[in-house]
Amino acid sequence: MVAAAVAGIARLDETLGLFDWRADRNASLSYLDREYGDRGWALDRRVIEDARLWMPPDAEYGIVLGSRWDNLDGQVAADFLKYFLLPRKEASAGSAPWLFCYGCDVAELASLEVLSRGRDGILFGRRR
Amino acid sequence: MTLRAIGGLIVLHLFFLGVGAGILWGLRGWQAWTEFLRLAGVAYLLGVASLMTLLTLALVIGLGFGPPLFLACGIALVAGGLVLGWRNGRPLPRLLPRGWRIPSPSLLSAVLIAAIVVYFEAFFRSERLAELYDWDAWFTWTLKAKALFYFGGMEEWVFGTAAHSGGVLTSYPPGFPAVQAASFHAMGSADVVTLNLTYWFLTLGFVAAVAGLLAPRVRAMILLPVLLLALVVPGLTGIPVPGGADRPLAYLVATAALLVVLWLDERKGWQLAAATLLLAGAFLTKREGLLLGACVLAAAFAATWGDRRGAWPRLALSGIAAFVLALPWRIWVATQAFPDEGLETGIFETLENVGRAWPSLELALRAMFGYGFWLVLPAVAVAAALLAFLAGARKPAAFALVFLGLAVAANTWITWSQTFFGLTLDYSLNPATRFMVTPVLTAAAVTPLLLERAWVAVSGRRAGLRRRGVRTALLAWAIVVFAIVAYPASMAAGYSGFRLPGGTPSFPDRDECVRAPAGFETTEIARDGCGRLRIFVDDVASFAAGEKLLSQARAAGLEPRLEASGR
Repeated sequence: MVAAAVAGIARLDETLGLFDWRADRNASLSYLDREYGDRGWALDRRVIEDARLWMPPDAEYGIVLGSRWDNLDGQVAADFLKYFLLPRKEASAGSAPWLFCYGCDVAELASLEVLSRGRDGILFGRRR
Repeated sequence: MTLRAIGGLIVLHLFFLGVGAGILWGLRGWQAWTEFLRLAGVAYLLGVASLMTLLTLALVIGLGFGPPLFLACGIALVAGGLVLGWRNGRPLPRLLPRGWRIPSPSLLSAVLIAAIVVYFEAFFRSERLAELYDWDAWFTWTLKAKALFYFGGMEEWVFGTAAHSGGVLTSYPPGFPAVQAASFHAMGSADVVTLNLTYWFLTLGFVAAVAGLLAPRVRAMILLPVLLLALVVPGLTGIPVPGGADRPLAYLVATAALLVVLWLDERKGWQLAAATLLLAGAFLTKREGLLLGACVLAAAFAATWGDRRGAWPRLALSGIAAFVLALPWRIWVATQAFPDEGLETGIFETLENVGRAWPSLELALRAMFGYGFWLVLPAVAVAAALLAFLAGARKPAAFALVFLGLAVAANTWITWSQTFFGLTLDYSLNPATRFMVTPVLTAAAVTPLLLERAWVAVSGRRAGLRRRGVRTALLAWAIVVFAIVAYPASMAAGYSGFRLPGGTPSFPDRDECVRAPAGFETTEIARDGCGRLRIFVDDVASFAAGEKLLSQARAAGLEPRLEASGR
């Protein structure tokens, strides 16, 4: 009982400091910082913001992972789009009118009108 | 992030409390409203668990999710509780029991209560504007919650097998996402920031439940230090609330376990019935809920070995009932032909990896007893169980020891069998410490009772309300009131001082974005801080022309504003 009391009270000050630090940090974030989180799951926010502006809420989009993104980062980035872009729905990349591409060869996507281009070969566009 | 969103969440969680109150009325009733106040935490968790269970059933049979369904489920549960209470002849409660006096804690108890109050104030402040950053949070839980909110059902591409670019963890139950989706409706939008306050409400409910159940049985000077310790352990506070379902699962299982422990000695039917509902909710919160619920029941079976003829049939009935309540979801998953996401290896392959067995056990023990995660809490729990056992409180002590042993065994098995988990306590490579949240909080819930039993055996004095002088009582309550006021006052005065100067709280909404453009200010089309476009039309010839432009913009669904340059 004494051990619990001593450990609890000793840790309380540190806990409150941690909560205060987090609160101050959260308050300093912008609206978009809070929406995206700070882990960089989106890879390139600008492309996603462009996509949110172009696509209506009932849009369907596809995600293509090029050979350069055949790794965990690309998959996580694709997963993040599923969550972040709701209520826009993910559909088959072969038929969706809007397309995200991570590390694709643009020459192979001749039918794509590129609307936003980010770093590392991240693209967003629509089919012509 | 707005006051309206916070207000919506408060209303929602009061609704959980109201639903749980209806169920608790059916299960046991209360003679005075002060008694209900003591058990409000139990009622709240019962409301959460029961609504999760009923909403999951509704989703499985294809009913559309939304406020009408949510309200209908809540009303149905309350009605069921009231009918049960009426059939059991529950008398209407009095406002106060006879001879009731305002509780007067000791000064030391008042300091501990004040510490817990300040903890919750600081916790609220840290969660209110937190971002949802954790992969597990948005991938497993909030993705499904947003899908339920926007589409009102289990969309095939989110809940089913039709995910186009990689899997979604389809076999995770929708109970907690349903709570999150209800939160979105209550807040008026899919506000994933204010959603973090859900954990604040759940934590408050859990602490209130444990305190309410133990208050008449355990003296405050044993109960409060253990509760405070459980709140501040680094395993819970060291990382921001990740947005997952580990905490809700832990609160449901730990409260169910405490009710089972009380039932072991007191054999009141409502305790086992309430535990059954909480376990059903746990089964539908996370897949691990089934494993941890089985640990609770197995520990109860072991603790009642000497009384197996009387206890085992009722325990078995409780376990079967909880499982049956979660069965529709299991059947739905079984009929969807999902890939088995839970087990990378079967039992025989696990045996082939026998070399991982010992390191896995070692890891599980470190995850349980690591001072850096849980301070001295698990060690205190084991010591309390041993002392209680020696003092003659065999059943609760045996329960605690068997449960903790089974939890370590279960955690060992997970790391041993799932070879993709590294043999490390790194949070991102192995969930061993996350799994321990439930066993450790269960230990925290049971430990005060064990210590009380041991203390009574030594001192011979049972816990009870002590009457103190008016001055002491006034001073004790003054300490608590001071704590309630002092923390927000110190924040307003700028106490924290890390980066912000202090001041009154702000409640940011999308309007803040207009004041915080993210670049492109010099162009005619600017992007604001919310990702919207701002389109400037300069040099409008006259006010009348501006008015015409405004009406055209409104007709196009835009939000126009006319600004004078001042020239």
